[in-house]
Amino acid sequence: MIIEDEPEMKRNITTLLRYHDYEPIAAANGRDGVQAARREKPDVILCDVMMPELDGYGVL
Amino acid sequence: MRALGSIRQRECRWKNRDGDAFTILLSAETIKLNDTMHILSMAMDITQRKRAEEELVKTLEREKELSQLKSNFVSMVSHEFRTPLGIIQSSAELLSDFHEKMPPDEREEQLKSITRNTRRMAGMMEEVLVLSRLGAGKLEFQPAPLDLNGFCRRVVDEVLSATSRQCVIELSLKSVPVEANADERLLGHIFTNLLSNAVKYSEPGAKVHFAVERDGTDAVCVCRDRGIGISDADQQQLFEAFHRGSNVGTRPGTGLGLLLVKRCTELHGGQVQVETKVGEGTTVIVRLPVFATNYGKDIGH
Repeated sequence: MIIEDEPEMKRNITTLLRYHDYEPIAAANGRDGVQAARREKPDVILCDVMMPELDGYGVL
Repeated sequence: MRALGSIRQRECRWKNRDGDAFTILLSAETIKLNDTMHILSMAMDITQRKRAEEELVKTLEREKELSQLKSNFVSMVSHEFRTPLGIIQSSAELLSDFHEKMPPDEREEQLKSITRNTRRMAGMMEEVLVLSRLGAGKLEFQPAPLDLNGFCRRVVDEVLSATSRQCVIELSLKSVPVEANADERLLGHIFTNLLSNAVKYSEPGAKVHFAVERDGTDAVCVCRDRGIGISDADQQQLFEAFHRGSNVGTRPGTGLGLLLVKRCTELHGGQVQVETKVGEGTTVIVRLPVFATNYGKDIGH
């Protein structure tokens, strides 16, 4: 799972993981990220630090 | 003098017969000679010295500003330049590693990302460069006759195409004389920044108004948007280098645009005024004395 607010960066990381045969999901800010993580229970979370709503430290 | 008894080294600003101000250093003493009171006084013209002092203070302030600009630049680079660079790098890597796997529209999208983010970085570099030139006093005010009407239309077109027509820009030119006396380059920085800011901080599809009107010897340029606005706290730091509003979200920017507008306006002998409210929008009014006769004689040097 990717939590990243910059849309193009989020897209690129998602694409990269997809081409490496992972099944990535993505969220655009910390708040959405936490909600999605609770719901989807991902194996690994890649999280940005500086984000609106809830930053990376807040997510932790 | 009778009450004071003496004056020691007092600075006085006087005017001579021609009305020119000058500064003197005055000392005076009352003395008794043969039972009559006399005043013994000495005045020294220190106009030159005062002028040199003022020049020194100004230079010092400029130096301070420049060094602050430099240290802010370093921290801004780490935040603002890393994002587009990261996108360019990852897009290029995706293209090179998965070129065969990638469907054409996705490939197209990645190429567009590279172009867009390269432009974004170039734009930021340009802003920093212009500002440092301004700070070093290297960008001089060079007024020349200019067709303001045509110029405004051109800038609006440029901003529309640079922002992929994200917003509608309504241009209104009221009784603007054909010829203004302005520095095209500085004016370009002013108008481009005002308009691209207005578009950037508005919702896609929103309207931006840009009106230029003659008021006596001034051109009054009003740029109004219905965008996110600027909070009271951020308004205190409106013209501070690299400061950005707390509500800008993920909109890219350097925090230099309005400072650039202010500097270029000041070189023109004009004024900037900002009216804004969070959630309601921002209006920037720039007043430029571009219709003055014998304009450009004493300004900007």
